[in-house]
Amino acid sequence: MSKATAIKKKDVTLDLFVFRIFLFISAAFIFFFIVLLKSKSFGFSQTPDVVIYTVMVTTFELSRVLGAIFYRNDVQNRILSKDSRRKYEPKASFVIPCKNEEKSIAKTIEKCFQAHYPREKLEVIVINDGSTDNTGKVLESLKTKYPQLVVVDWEVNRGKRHGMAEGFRLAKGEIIVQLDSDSFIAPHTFPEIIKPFENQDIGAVCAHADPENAEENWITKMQAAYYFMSFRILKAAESIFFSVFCCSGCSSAYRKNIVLPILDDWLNEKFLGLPVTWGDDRALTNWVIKKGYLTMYTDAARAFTICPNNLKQFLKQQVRWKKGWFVNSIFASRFLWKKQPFIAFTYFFPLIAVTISTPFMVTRALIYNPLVKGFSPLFYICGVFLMAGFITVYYRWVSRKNKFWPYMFAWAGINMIILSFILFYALFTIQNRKWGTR
Amino acid sequence: MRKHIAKTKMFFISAVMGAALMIVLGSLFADDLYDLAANNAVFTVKYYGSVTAFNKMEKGGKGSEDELYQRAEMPEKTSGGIPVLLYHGVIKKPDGENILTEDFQEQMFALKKVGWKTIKLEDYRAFLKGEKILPEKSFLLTFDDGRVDSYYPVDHLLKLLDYTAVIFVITEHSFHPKNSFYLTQKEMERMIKSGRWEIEAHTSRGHDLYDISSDGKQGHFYSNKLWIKEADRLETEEEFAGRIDKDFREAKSQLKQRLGIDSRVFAYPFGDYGQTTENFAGAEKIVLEKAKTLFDLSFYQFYEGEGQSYNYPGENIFLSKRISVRPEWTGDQLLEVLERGMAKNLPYQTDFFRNDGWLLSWGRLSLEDNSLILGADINDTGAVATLDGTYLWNNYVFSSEVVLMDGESFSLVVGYKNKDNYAFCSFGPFGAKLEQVLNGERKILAERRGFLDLSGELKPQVALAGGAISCSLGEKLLLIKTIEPEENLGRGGIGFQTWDPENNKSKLQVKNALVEKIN
Repeated sequence: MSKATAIKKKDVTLDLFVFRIFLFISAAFIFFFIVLLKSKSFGFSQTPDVVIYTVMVTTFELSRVLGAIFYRNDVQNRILSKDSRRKYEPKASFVIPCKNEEKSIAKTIEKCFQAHYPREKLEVIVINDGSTDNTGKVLESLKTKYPQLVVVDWEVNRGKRHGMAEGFRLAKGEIIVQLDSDSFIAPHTFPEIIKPFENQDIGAVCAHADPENAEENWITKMQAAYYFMSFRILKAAESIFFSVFCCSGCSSAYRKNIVLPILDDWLNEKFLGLPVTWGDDRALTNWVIKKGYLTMYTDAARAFTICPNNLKQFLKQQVRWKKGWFVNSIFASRFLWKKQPFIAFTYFFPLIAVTISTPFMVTRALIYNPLVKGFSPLFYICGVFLMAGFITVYYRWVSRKNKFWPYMFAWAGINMIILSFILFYALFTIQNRKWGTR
Repeated sequence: MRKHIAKTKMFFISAVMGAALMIVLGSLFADDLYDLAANNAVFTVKYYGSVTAFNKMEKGGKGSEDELYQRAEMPEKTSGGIPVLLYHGVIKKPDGENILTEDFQEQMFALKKVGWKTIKLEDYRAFLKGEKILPEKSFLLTFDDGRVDSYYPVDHLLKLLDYTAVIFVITEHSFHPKNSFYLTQKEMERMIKSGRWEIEAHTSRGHDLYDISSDGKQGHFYSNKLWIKEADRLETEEEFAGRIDKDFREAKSQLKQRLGIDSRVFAYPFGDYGQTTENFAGAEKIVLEKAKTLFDLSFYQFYEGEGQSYNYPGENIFLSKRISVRPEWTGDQLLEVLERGMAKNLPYQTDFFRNDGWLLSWGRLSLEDNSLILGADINDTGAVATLDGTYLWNNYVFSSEVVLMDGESFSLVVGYKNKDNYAFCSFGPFGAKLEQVLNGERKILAERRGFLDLSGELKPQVALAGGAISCSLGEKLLLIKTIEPEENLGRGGIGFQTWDPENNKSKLQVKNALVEKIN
């Protein structure tokens, strides 16, 4: 019996080995074709600006994948001092702002209390931000079940930032875990989000998030692929230098004594004279970085969230994220080049340049050049999908069981023709501070 | 931990720079690699595609490649004249100017089937100088402008059919490329290496249109004085000559420098060596003079009115005619064009059942009821038609049966070499007249006044033999004139002419024509 298991195990490893060899060869091929494509567009099949842009973007995207490859979730050896073998278990508070979440809030809270963590060291603070449905009643009933549940009831909606701030102020825990009302952290992985805080330089930790409702339709499947890229590649790559710029709102942990002093500044942030209503997570992370603390991503803590399942909500969310990204990029660029010049110039400013130039270059490569100059847009489109292919290979390497990888190509296509242009829409409507996903 | 981050930064930045370097450097090498691999792959696919297509056309036979070549090796007669075919691009979507890939293939296959073979420039030159005899159905295949699409859709066919081609490149466009429309140096090097292509000069900068007057009117570089805007005047003759000379030299020296080609052959841009000038009558003389100092062969585009479509060894071998192949011609139509132009042997006889080479210089021509009908155009007084492929004829008597349907007079043309050099016997109410056109100038050689009855069926006859020309009508000898050597009438072909002082009137019906050798 044990022999059979051994053989089976060996087969599995061999299988994985073959699979990875295959991926490696694919990556080599894709890289070769990317290089080939560049060589062809160096000729006369594209205008110089598009060529320079594509080389820049390719290098940038490759640098992200490379960064992600460098990423190791090795908290014990990299973050903590060698001699720290003691059990680090500080008191932790969940802060969950919510509004009209009667359906999902119970599950979120239950998952919090299921965390593999001493119950007496856990606390859950829910800010019921002017719900008009039965959220309040649901919370009341949960309160009897979980004495550590603190509920703040607001009659009038005051906004997510205010809810979060209230939660931070009330929290008794040393570490504050901030969750969206429809997201949760897989209970057994919860300790992983606390662990890094033993190092006093760490100010915020972002968990890995996946859409819980990924199976629903092609939009959610596509977002599942995007979440992988966004967390396991982009945030992982940022994390190798401990400068994650957005500890995502759905599941991140902060050190309370860092957050409290900056709470008022964060709360009263204004852009073009109006309070900023989106990008709260990004803004908070910015403040942590500005104060000189490190932020990181861990793929050991797994969170799940609900992602929009129809195009309208999805696009609204994208617009909100773009606005948040834009406003906070402006805030961050004011201090980052002084505080973290390496990251500012190798990552942050290139990212801004790429994001802003992409819609222009897409217009040029797909519409202007083919129509006016007669250049085929084929090379450009091939480049975009080759890059998606390269990322997909890495996706398969890291997460073989995940079956949403084909949607990476759908994402690449949609990003090229729609999402990159959303930035403009976001900028045009930047004075519209309404929340607008759900 | 901070130390750890610093280390990561170092690794990371070197990895990213390494990747960027690989992309940039890699793409420089990849270009060659790509060309080599992709072009060879595409070439092979196209080549075997064409082999299949060619074999499909073979009826009955197995159509192996060997058979194909054997057919081309069959014993042949020798060639009297050489046709030069001109193409530009070979394209995918019809544009009315350039030929489609599949039509080009069809034309080439048709040529190969009946045994046409390409020759190289060296053989062509030797043939014109009379130093070399070439088999019948030899032709020169040429492409103008040095376009990329003259090469890639064609090369595999050349290999398959064992053909070679000459390509005339615009050196300025090819060596200082602004887009991928023209062949690059690398491509031309590959072409030369294949042995299937000869590269010669088309022009350096003369393929664009330039201002030729103050009002912004544009014209050809080689046939007009250009407008100098700064000075508010046209070029002087010296400036014109200098510019032409410079362009010739530039094209020549660029080919020498970049490809090591000693170019001695030139194709005039737009086929214009000055003959279509709009503002400078002296252009042609200067262009040809300058060209002769630098090249020994030059090419322009033949048009029907010039007569003889082939090139023959003879007096003016510097200027060669090219047949500009129309994109709409089928393979059979191209063969027909070539067959009509092919050197004809004596005796020659026709009852105009089909057109075997009658070219119209001006007027109207039609073949009806086994007759050739030649008539003046609405705005013209006369008409001229000559027979292609007769350039080499000498010592012959040309007789015919004609009806003068309308108009004052008609003529039989003999000794026709081109539109500027021939002789003709005219028959009219005024009598008979023997005239000559020599280098474009017309003069009367002999005349016999007296009324001629031109009603009913007439049997005119002109003999060009033994150093004399004679004109007869019916059985009656009307004129005889010894020709002087400088009159250059030793040889040349035949034709018909009609005339009337009134427009749209003269009309001649030719029932048959017979040309017999006299020894």
